Order: sequence, then structure tokens, then C-alpha cells
Amino acid sequence: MSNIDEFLMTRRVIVCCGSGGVGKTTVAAALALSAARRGRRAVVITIDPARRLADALGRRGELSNEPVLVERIDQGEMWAAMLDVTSTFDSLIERFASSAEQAEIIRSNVFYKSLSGSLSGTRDYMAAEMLLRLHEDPRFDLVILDTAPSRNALDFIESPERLVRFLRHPLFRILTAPSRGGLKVIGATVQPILKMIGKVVGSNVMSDVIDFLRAFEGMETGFAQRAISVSRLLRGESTDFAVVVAPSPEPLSDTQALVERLADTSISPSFVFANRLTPIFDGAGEPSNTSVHSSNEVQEWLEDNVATLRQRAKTERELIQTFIDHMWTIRPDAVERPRAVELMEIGEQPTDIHDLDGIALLADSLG
Amino acid sequence: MDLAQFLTASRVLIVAGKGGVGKSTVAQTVASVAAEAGLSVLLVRIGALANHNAPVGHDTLNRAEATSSDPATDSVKHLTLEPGAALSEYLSGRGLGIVTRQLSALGIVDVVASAAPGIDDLLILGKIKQLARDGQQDLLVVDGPPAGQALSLLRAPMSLGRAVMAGPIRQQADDVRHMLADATACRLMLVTTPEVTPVTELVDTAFDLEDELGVHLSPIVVNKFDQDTLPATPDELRNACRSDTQRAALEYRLTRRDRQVTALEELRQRVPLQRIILPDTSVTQHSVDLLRRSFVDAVKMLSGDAG
Repeated sequence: MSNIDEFLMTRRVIVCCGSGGVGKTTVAAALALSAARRGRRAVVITIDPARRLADALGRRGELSNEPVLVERIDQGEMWAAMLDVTSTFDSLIERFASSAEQAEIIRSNVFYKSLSGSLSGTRDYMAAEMLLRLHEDPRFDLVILDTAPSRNALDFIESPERLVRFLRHPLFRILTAPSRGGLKVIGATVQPILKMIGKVVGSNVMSDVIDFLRAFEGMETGFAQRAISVSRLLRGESTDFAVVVAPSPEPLSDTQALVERLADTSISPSFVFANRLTPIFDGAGEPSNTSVHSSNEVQEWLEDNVATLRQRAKTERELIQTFIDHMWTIRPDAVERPRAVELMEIGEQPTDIHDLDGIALLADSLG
Repeated sequence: MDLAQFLTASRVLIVAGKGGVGKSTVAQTVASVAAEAGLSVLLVRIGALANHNAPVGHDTLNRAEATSSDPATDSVKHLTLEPGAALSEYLSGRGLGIVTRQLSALGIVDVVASAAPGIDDLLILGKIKQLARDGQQDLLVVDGPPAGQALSLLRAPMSLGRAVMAGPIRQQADDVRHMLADATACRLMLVTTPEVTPVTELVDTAFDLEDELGVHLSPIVVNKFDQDTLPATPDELRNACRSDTQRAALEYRLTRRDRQVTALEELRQRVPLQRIILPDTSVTQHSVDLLRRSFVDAVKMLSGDAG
């Protein structure tokens, strides 16, 4: 069994990470398709607001939180879903609210609206929540997540812990339970601070926050437990990480920072997918057509073209190798060296894959 | 269009584009072109994205970025703004330093930053506005975040303006919104490569930015375009191939060029903005100078109202 086989056959969760613009979404989709060809019931989730997976699957606008069956191959299935942050958050609120009224009060709160609508931290956490939900869904046995290129791409992995920290923050407890004993003591120090912050950001913002937190009362336990389950899944044994890179310096240096942060949290991705490599034109250069006469200029250009592309192919592979060596050196305790999969940019396979055929071609090159 | 006129059309130029399109290279090129033209230039990077570790292969693939022995590039001043620290810095700047440190220790600054989303973004823009107002620089080139994030960065003043009714943050939001909508103060330069996906994203982003925020867009930079002139027609080249290797390499190159032309045409049809086309430095002679020359030549080709 080749390594990619083992990877696609045994994992339950695969998190694809990498910087934007490297084709992460299409690689995630190709992994899902490739897993489906191996008989898995795979679902790929994108949390990228640019709707690139929808584009890649040629189904713009059709994807939503609810997974859509893209392809059935014998026993295998490929599904796709796109994270809708607001509705994921809404359904969590509904799930943990003690009453319909409580859910409604929260949903209409101004702070909740901005929290669920625009905050990137919320998006990270909701992606993790969605991952857990689909992992628990009996229709699927493999969930592949295409992470958003957030400022700090690993915010996503830490988002459950951050939520738990927030829910357990003393300030949160003080605000949600003003009648609890001890308020006088802590309140005396916190109140002026809140007032001061209110002066800076506007007192209406603070009062919206306080209203929201009060309305949230009683739900924090459910939320925190859920966040702990998500966190456990992300660090679980059947979860693996794949790094997608493209051979150009800007994204590579971003990705290097990312794998360093992954290493800090003891996560070592087992695969690096090097996307969009220039193919190696390494024929012996045997003349196969000497009857045609062409100008020196044309011949020179044709030879230069081969030389330039060869040089580029070589430089790209050196870049990727340096990257992988670095990954290996920052994790001396990792069991296995990360494996590299080269994904070629070939004539028939466009650089920008935006349909299912393109994804299928990419899946072919995964083996 | 006159180069000086182009460079001084606004004091702030925000360069934005999807990851991998070479946004930072373009920002650097514009900055050094301006420095070469005798302007005093500040290149502003937005932290967390700006990587201070020696990037992988920094000097192997992208030679344009690595060469710093050249006087025009050297005279560009650099500044990195850290988004995470913006709120603490803002509070400290208002004489609230000690309290801020206490608040940070308690995690309260984080809570507030999440309570008023976009506050860091706003403060970053506020800082840029302040730098522009100081008047110490002729031009501020901002190496902005990737396209999708550029949208949320630039939206921050508007969404905060709605959420915050009064106070210094509200004032800041209003000021920044003014700057963004004022063509003589600020322009946004979108960068793409000639490929379908980045072009599609650029089209969406461009319209959102203009309609929603009234931001003025400079001509679009199309980076990494294969501009090499073929010495003969494609078919003549095909017939002249003497080996399978030559043939395969030629077909690869021709396919790529065709795709680039298609993507460029799509851009031309869908966005009514002029374009500055820069060469693919991986198939021609690399040098900072080549990019700079190409940029200058492309600007001269622009028609006068290109702001």
C-alpha cells in the first residue's frame, strides 16, 4: 500500500493548510475525490469566503452548510459543503438555548450580529464546529477541511481553546451573573475599567456586549463542552494535517511560519502537496526531426525555452526541498519525515482549475 | 501618462491582491520607482503577514525582492504595523499605558477587540492616515493584506461607524472613511496574475470595494505575464522542433501563454480599468530593474485620466 493510499484510507479527518493562492481548495477537493475513488465517503468543507470551492466544482452558489453529493464512484462518495458562519452559529445557539425566547434575544442582539457576521475568530471556531458536526454525521467517514487563509492560519486550531478561555474569563462571569456573590469585590475594580473602555469604543458597544453576555447565561457550559470535543478531535489520532504549497517565495515563507506554529502545538503534518510545479522536460534531446530547416534564431529560442523551463523546474524543487527539510528540522521528535507529493502543472491541466474535470485530473496525479 | 503625475496622484497607495500573485514584489517595485523618481517613500507592511524570518528561497526564485544593493531600493523607508498590538498601542498613546498593560494581562483588551470587530483594522488604517497627514513622505505604499482580507480591512471603518455611536473610535472611523473615499488621499492598486481564479476574485473584489466604500482604484497590475516575443508563429515553432523535449516544452509554454491571454481578455472585458502589465520574471532575465522599467513603461502607456 503506497503512503498516499494509507493516508486516504485510514484518516477520519484531514485538515489542509497553507497560504492563500496555492490551490489549497482544489487540492482538498482532489483529496476528497481521490478518497471517494478508494471507496470512502468523503466530504470536503471550505471556509473560504471567496467561494473558491464552489468555483472549483463549477457549482457557484449551490453549496451551503448542507453537504451536496458531487460524485458517486461505486461504494465511494464525494460530498462538498461550504461553511455558512451565521447559520452555524445560529444553530449552536438554538441547540444550547434553554428556550426559544433566549435564542431569539441573542439572535437579535447587535453584538451577536457582528460577532456572527464578520469576526474572523468566529469563522475559525465555526469551521471547527462544522468539522465536528460532519465527523459525527454517519453519512461520512472522512472529513477534509480546507482552512481559510486567515491572518494567522492556525487561529483555527486554537479557536476552541480560545472560546473556552473566553467563556471562563472572570469578566464574562461577572457580566453574566451580576447578582452573584463577590461582585462587589471584583466589580469595584472592573467597573471603572469598563467605563473607560466604553469611553474609547463607545458606551453602546459595551452595553451591547453586556446585554449579549447576559442573554448568553446558562449556555456557556454547553458551548464549552462542545469546544472541548472539537479540540480533542483536532488533536486526535485519526486526524492528520496536509500542507499545500506552491513553489513561489511569498506563499512559501508564509507557510513556513505556519508549520513553525503547528510544530509549537506538537502537530506535524504528514504530507506536503507541492502544487503547480513546472514539469521536468528531461528528454535526451535526440533529434527526431532533422529534415526541417529553421533559422538559428528559432532554434536558439526553442533551446532557450527548454533550458529556462528546466532551470525553473529545478529551482522550484529545490525550494520545496528546503521547505520540507526545514519542517523536519523543527520537529526532531516527529516520527516520520513529511512526505512530498508533487503535483505538476501540465499542459492539459490548467493552472487554475475551476471545474470537476480539472479536479479529477489533479486526483489522477495523486495516484 | 506622466510618471510623476501617476505617483503623486494620492499620498497613500494600498497594494492588495490574492496570495501568490506577487503583491509584495509589486509594492516594492512601485516604492522603488517612486524613490528613483526622487520622491520620499515609506513602504508600510501590515504585520503578521510580513514575515521577518528569512523566507524560504527568498533569494533563489524571486530575485527582484532579494537585491537590495541598489540605491533606489535602499532609499525606500520601511515600517511594519502589527494588527494585534494596535488597540493596546492606541490606548497607550492616550496616556492609558499602565492601565492598558493591566487590561492586556487580564485579557480584557482581547475581549473588547472582539466586541468591536475590526477595531484593529481601523486603528491600522488610522495610523496610515496619520502618517500621510504628517506630510513627511511624498508617498506611502501599503503592502496590504490578501484580497479577501483587504475587503474586511477597508470595511472596518464603515462597520465600526455603524456599531459605535460616539467617542474617539467613532471619530477615527469617520476620518478614515474620508481618507478612503478621497481620490487625492488614497488609491487602491489591485494586483492579479493572468489566471482565471485570481482574475475572478479580483473582479468581485473590485466592484465591492468601489460600490461599498467609494475607494478609488488605480489601474490594475497584471503580474507575471509571459511577454517574451515569439521568434515565429506557433506552428512554425512546432515544425521547427528537433526533439520531443523541445516539442513538449514548447507546447507547455504555448498553452500557458494562451491561458494568460484568455484571462487577461476576461479582465479587460469585465473591469473598466486600465492595466499595468508586468513580465513573468521566471521566464526572462530577472532583475529589479526589469520590473521597474516595465512598470515605468506601462505607466507611460496609460491614458491621462488613469488617476
